[in-house]
Amino acid sequence: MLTTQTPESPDTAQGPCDVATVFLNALTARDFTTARSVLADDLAMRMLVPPGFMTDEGGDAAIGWFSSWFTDADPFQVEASSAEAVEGRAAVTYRLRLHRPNGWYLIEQHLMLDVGGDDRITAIDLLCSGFRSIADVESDAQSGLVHHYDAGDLGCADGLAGQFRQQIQRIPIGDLLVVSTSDPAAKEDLPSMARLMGHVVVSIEVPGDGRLFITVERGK
Amino acid sequence: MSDKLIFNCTYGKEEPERATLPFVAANIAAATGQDAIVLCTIEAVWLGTQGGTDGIAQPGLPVLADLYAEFVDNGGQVWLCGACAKPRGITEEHLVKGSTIVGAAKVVEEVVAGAMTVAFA
Repeated sequence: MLTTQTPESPDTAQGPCDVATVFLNALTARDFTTARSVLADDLAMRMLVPPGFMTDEGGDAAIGWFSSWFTDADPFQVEASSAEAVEGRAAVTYRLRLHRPNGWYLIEQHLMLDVGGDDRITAIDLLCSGFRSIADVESDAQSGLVHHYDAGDLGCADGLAGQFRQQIQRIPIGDLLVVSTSDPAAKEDLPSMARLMGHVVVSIEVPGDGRLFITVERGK
Repeated sequence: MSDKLIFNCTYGKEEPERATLPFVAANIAAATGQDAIVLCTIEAVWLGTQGGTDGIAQPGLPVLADLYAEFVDNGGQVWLCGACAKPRGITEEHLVKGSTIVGAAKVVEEVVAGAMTVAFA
């Protein structure tokens, strides 16, 4: 399981963002029954995928697409996800790392959702990266799963500590979080921060492109 | 247990005496074999950049550029507050020998480990 930013599901969906969150959490858990429950029967779906532009209609058809893409993946890891309101619409994004019979893939999809008055999604506009082949990660699995977090140029005055804490608390104890950062202060700060929070700094790599990769094992 | 001595410096060119004094004390520490650090915050972050100490000389005190070089040669470190460096546009490319941009956690970790801090108002 990789790093995820999936928000917690609200108890009762109210508004586009809450509905989107329910849909996102169900989708990333591959709970297609729950995901279908927030789709309108007459939903309109438009998809821009590598083969081209496609459309489909109906909640069942829409859920069929997601199911066809993701049901057979094993493992199925959510690397990052988010659901946000965009002035009356909702934006959902997720990046998945998954294994299919012929190898590992990374896939990212961006969805713009219309939500009706009955808290059901009436339209999905989907943009898909396609299944992007990536290197075999079995070696990672031998020593605990590896999660990734790109801290960008966040520094100690920009909420880095909170973000780092949030990210590492989302992975199981013993798993590894590889944090990449380009902020000069964060390069000195992250190892200290990790140790202060009770984690173990496993390695620090400097690839030479201005970034730093710090591998941290969650300790508690 | 950390045996570091951290000397805080908050002033730059605008206050030559205040900019120099922490380095005087820190250099004594470094010269006597202590693990000495000058932690530069606010305007003092410029002191760890190229040309940052140019022209800073308070009568009765060493020329800061010379003192800085001596301090570093004595094994001293200069830490520049990352939160202060970023809004001033200071990046790693601007730094001189002996200075490093650090964040608050780095300092907190040292203090938690027992480092002593010396403040100059």
